[in-house]
Amino acid sequence: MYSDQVQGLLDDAGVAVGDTVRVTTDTGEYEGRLMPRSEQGDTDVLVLKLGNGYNIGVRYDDSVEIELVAEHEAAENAHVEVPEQDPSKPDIAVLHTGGTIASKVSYEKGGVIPAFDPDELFQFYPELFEEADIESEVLGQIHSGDMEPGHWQAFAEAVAEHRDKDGVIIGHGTDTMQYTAAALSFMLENIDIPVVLVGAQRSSDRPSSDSAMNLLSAMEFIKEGVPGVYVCMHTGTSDTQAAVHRGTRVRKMHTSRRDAFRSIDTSPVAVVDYPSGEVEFLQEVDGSVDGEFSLRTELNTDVGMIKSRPGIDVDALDAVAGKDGVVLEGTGLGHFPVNSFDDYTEHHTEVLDVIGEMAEDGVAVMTSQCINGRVNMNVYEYGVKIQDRGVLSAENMLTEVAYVKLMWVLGQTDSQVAAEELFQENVAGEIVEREAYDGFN
Amino acid sequence: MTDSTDYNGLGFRCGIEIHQQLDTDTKLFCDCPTQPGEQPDAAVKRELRPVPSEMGEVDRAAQFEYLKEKSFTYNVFRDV
Repeated sequence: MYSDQVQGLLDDAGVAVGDTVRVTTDTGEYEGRLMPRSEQGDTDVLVLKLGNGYNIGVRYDDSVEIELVAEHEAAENAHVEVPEQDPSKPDIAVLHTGGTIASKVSYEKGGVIPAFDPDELFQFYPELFEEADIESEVLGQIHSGDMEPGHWQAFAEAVAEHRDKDGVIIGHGTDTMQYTAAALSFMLENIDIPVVLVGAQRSSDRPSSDSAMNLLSAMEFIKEGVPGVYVCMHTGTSDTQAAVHRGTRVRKMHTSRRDAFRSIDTSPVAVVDYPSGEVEFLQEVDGSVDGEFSLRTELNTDVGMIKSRPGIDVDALDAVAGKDGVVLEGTGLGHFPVNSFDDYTEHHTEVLDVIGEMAEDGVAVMTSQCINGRVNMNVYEYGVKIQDRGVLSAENMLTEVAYVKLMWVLGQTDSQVAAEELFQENVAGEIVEREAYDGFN
Repeated sequence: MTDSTDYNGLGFRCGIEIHQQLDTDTKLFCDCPTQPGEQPDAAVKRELRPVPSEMGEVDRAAQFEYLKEKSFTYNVFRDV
């Protein structure tokens, strides 16, 4: 948005964003299309796209004059022919929640918006339409770091509405994609179609974006007809193979690499070769589900999460005590500092007491900061002390998944005992029953 | 007949792009060395796709290159 002062100048001249204008300043005359101003920029600087494609900034001051050359005409879409619907092709719903799978400038909105009409999506990804009948929907344009559990519920409901399709692809920001993947895994009980989340570590307005390969690989996986919730992203940094990860076993392990997403304690479910689209299963899966589909979106969001660390004090633990659920991310096999033996560790007996209260007042579960491997509080006596107070082992559930699962479990039942039982059940593959010798990468 | 040196009349256009290599220890925006080694340690293969610009159109030259179906291999040099 331009500053009020600049907007006033534009209004007086009868000029709007998108119009072709001539701006006269002390340094010369510039003609171009008036572009939207992003919030982060200096709002007193006019942005013009010149005829040669370059954008320039012209700072507004009293000496600047602006006049309208031509009004913006709604651009005609490049003539695109979306292939006709074909019953022999799989039906896939592409839902957009955020990230940049496809985007365009909107003069009306003054910024970048998802380009998600079938025509627009087709321009970006024609291959998608050649091989599938696509229905697209924008659920939001959310930076995934801003997502809340309420968004997970809305997404689950949207997916449920497309259950009649052969598969659903969800464009999602990478920051919290694993949380949403876990939430959908629990909320879409016995889902009978593949639901695949895809993202991009490089924005789709770059020719080198990883979004196309991830999206197209997701489509190839959907054709295999294996139900469940998955995340599909690059295997390595080359554009040669994508990995399809189980939604409850995947974690973003790098801030920027294309192959940031890794399956933990297990292999991906499958890999997809690019560009051939050949799917190779790395795990045995079958197309069957254990029962009727049920949409179970109820959540109890009164759940805290706290990481153990040297120097942790009782105040930090008090901040999450008293909640209906707490995820304790312990060190090693699942430990918090509860042994008291010298001046530095005097408060550890209190730490143990606070943890004990958490387990009485609510459901307290232990995961590990190691990320990989299984929690076992039976090995060391300080683990035994914690377990004896009623803290449950989360086995090898990822901390983020345990957190989502605890919200879900506490939303499904009011009984603490029932909640604890459900938490310890392997609902959606979130517990790796048997860790393979080569499951550690 | 147009004089072949009447550039304006011909509508002749010419662009000159000048590149100057900097004599620095590392590249400008990262700590990578400026000289490649003899043998690459790894290679990364990339596909490039033309994308619609802010104006909603795909650049003709980009589209033309895309239709050649090239892929690009980047050589990775660990250190020099």
